[in-house]
Amino acid sequence: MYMAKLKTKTQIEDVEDTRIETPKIESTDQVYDLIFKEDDVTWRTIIIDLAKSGKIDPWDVEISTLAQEYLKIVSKLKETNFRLSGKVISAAALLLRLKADRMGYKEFLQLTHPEEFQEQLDEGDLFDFEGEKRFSKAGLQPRIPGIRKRKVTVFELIDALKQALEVDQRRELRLRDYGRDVIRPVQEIKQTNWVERIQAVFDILRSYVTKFKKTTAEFTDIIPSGSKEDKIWTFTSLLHLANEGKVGLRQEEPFGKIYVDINEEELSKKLKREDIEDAIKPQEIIKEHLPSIKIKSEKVRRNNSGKKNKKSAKTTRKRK
Amino acid sequence: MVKKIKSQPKQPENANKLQDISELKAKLEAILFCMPEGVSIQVLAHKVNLGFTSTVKGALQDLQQDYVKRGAGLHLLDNGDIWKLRIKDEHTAIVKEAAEPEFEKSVLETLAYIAWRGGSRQCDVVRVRSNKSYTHIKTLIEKGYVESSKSGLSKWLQPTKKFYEYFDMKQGEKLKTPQQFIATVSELPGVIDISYSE
Repeated sequence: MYMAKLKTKTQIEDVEDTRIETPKIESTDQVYDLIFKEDDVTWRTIIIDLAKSGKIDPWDVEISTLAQEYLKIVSKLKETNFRLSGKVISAAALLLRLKADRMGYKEFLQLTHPEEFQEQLDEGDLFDFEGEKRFSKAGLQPRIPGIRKRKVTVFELIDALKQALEVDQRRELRLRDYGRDVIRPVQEIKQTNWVERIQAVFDILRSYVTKFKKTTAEFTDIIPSGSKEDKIWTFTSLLHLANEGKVGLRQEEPFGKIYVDINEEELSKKLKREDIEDAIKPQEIIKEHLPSIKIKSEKVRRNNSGKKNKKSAKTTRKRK
Repeated sequence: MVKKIKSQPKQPENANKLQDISELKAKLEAILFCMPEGVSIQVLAHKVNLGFTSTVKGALQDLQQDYVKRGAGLHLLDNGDIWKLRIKDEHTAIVKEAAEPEFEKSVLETLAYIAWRGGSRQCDVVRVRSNKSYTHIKTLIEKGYVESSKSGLSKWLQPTKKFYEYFDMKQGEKLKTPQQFIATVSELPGVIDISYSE
């Protein structure tokens, strides 16, 4: 229905070839009418007409009244009309902005940031300061088209080369300095005597059984202290012992308590060094996957030993 | 008596044509003034609602001659298909502060490096001028100041004829460093002392 109405209007326009005449506004009520009526009037029409006629001060249109009128109409409407609401919001926003500018946004800035306006005030004697203020108030930036680009001279090109080479030299120096003086962090690999550690845990288990007459111990009962290191060392040692079948480890639920089942027969046996070394064999395999720094050091050691062998061979030859 | 029929002052057709051409020239001048980067004849023809690019080209050439005759501070540069209104070379120094150079600083440095080497592999340029120079090289190739050809896994970059014409250098001449430049100029007859200023 609405589309049809619109079409008819445009057809008439085509025939008559005339511009759309905006209705003249006589009072504030008409502004509201224009906004709330369902014709093809946009906020532009309202503002242009207001400016042209000068009968109504566009700065004094009550936005609150506008909003109230809008709410009244919305309450009367049975169906949602997005077109109307859009028009009202658009008009209200525009009017609010105009009013804000009118109410002295610039003057407010002059009060809060007087130093920024001081220079303008000083220069005010030389030119039409008020006019300039009005101009800047409109928020327009002069955009005069001009030939902004110019040819680059050969001297500028030579200067650019100088800059480019200087940057390159600086980079080279920086890289060289970095290679020479930089203190790289040394990666230390802590070594531990696993045989002793496993032996110690085994002794703890033995004393636990003799003391409490129990073959099952909680993990928390056998750790020397609550420190992280002690927990890790004890647990790793237990894993090695479990791997050798000396103890059994179980955990009934994830993140639950860890129980150590102690085999009394195994406890009565003396823990042999060979057994422990067998137990820690997987550790040797892990060693091969350690960072390159370790491998390098091994290589260096091998090379050094090779050199030593050569040296010793030389000395023996000399002696001969 | 033979009545002499005074022939009315004939409004020559040429006058209308001339008016049209001068109007066309004015329009073209206005467009060129607003587009410092240059504009093609096709675009100009489209803007002035002319289907024939030859008419536009003729008007541009006329305009070019007008600038020459007038001894203006600007000249109309015909760069193949692209036409641009530019400040004359001799006036570049006085507008140095007002007008921006055609090249960005970093792009110019990359171009200077390539010109100094008299051609270089792209990988070498990138090594010296950082990864950003890939964009610089692309811009320079697009603008036609550098041409690239395949060189192994990299590209060989070389200044073009346009580059040498632009900077008024001999074809294939390598760009001189400031020191070399001073030395060369000092050797010229009549030059007593020269100092290079940035």
